Amino acid sequence: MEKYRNVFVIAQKEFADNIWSPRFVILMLVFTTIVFSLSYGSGIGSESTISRSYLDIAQIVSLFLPFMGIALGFDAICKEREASSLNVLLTHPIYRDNIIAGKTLGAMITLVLVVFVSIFIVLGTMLVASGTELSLPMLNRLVVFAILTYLYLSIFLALGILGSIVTKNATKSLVYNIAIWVVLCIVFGMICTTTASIIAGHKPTDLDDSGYFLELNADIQKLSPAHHYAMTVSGVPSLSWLGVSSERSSVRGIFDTEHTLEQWWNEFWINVLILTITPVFLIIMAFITFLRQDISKDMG
Amino acid sequence: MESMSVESMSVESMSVESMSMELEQSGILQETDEFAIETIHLSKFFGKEKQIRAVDNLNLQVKKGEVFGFVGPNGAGKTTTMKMLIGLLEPSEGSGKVAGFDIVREVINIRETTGVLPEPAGFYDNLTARQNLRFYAKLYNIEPGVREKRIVNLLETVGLTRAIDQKTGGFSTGMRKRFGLAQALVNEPSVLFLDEPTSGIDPLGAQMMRDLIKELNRSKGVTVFLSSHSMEEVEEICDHIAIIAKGKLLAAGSVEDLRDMIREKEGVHYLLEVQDIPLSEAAEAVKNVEGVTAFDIRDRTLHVSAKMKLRTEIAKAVKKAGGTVSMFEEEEMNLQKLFLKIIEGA
Repeated sequence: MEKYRNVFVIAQKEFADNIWSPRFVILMLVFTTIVFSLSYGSGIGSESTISRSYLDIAQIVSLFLPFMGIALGFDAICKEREASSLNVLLTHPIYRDNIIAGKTLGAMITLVLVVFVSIFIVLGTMLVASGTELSLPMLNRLVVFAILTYLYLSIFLALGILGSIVTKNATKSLVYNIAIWVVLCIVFGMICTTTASIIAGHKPTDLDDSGYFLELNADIQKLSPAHHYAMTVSGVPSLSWLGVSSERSSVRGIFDTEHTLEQWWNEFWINVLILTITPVFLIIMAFITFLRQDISKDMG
Repeated sequence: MESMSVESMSVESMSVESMSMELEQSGILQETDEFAIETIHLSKFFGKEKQIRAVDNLNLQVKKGEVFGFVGPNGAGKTTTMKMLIGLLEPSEGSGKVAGFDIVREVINIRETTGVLPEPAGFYDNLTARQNLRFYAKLYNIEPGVREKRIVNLLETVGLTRAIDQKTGGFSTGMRKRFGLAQALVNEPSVLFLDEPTSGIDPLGAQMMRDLIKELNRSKGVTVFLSSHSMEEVEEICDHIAIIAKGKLLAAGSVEDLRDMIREKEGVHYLLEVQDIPLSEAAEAVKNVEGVTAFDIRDRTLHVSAKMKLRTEIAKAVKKAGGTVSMFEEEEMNLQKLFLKIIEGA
């Protein structure tokens, strides 16, 4: 345990740095304002209205909140390398894996704060506005929704950290991460449609007699984390910009109260598994990359 | 030359233990705890074919409590050596110990007992001096009460008391260097590694830094391993010096040891002013002294080169010729000149 003590020292510093950074505060305010506006609008109504409101929030989360994950991770290592503070840190009694573990842990704790605080503050707003009481089963679904959102954003956080290790400066890391975000969250539907239509030799606008095209399109869409997040939350794929899909699930996501949570799990466990494995895989990649780098090159 | 040695035996087929034993038997290295830093055939090669020999067969012994200067031109292998000593780079061959700990197997122990001011050194500029030091101190698990007192004391030592709650981002270069020294001392180290501690700062700041290093060494007995380009600095504060170029140790010892080494190789140079007889006559008299290799008359001064110290013999020869020596000086070679001579010789 002594070996890992400094992981928590680094994590504590990262967490404090994050929550006091103007960048974080601004992004948090923007996100909270968006979800607050959505939730206040649908505040007066029944539980089902709240569910619909959360689906709208999920849409926003799916498209824009990955940027929050990226913002928390994109300069984790390269910023230290640029400022030469990594040089100094490495001269103290700390294992190299502790540095990356501490930074990841600090950012992930910050992400917990982002997801859970914003979601539950918004929930509070809606409940106060509507005056309705929230049932325990609905609260359970909201907790699962928060966990799914957290897993989804962790993927982008891990991508950000990986980018900060493989690039030499924060600007490059940010540019690469934004490019990944745009591809995976904004235009992935269009890319899938185009790729599937080229392979299938089928016009994307002509949906008649296009089983192979739609199947291929659905398969390619599975490469995006946004797809798995959208499936688990709403039961429909994330189409993003210019995407098409005929895929529909019998369970309409986490807020479908006509189905039990067990039925939801049976329908979407693979998507949940992918949302869990992907950040773990990316973090392992980040660890390996960082440990293999000759970081002493930056000194002298 | 007593504290260090240069050895050039082949190491390819030898284990570290057998090399160490052989060196001990040959008297090159003595197994003793009087050394804060020891290296045995320490080498670092880069490139697929190991064709770049950044550090090549380096044997160093740095006594506890001394200020040791490690000098050399750019790319000599100074920083690579330092990186190996603090465990940032694994040696390709050879071994070493710092504060009694192995530089490969006991890296964390080394970092717990040493302080390092690397070059370049950056800090967390969004944090104050106190917050920065608090963070570094936490890495050593220092109790909060002790930690806070030590932070105040350290910043006082380096003259940054007034800046204790200022963000380091606003520090001048001189302040950053002094703050770097404070962070290196946060664990009260027994060995201090300083890489170019005065580079980029004004002469006043540089002098302040040197005084600080001397004071730390004197009052706390901290062993200082100082890598520097500034010969003036090294001459002023170091007890022993090692000169390295192209990864190889060229010379080591005190400044006086190095002077003796150059004397042996290049001879001694005297400057004489003579009265009562013309300088040409004095020169003729000196020429016949055994061991004198050259003479020259410049600016009414007789310049004499000799193989060894011949002060008495030269004075006697001038007196015998009827002259009176009114000024007799040995041309002093400062470290800058010594350094250039040694580098040129290599």
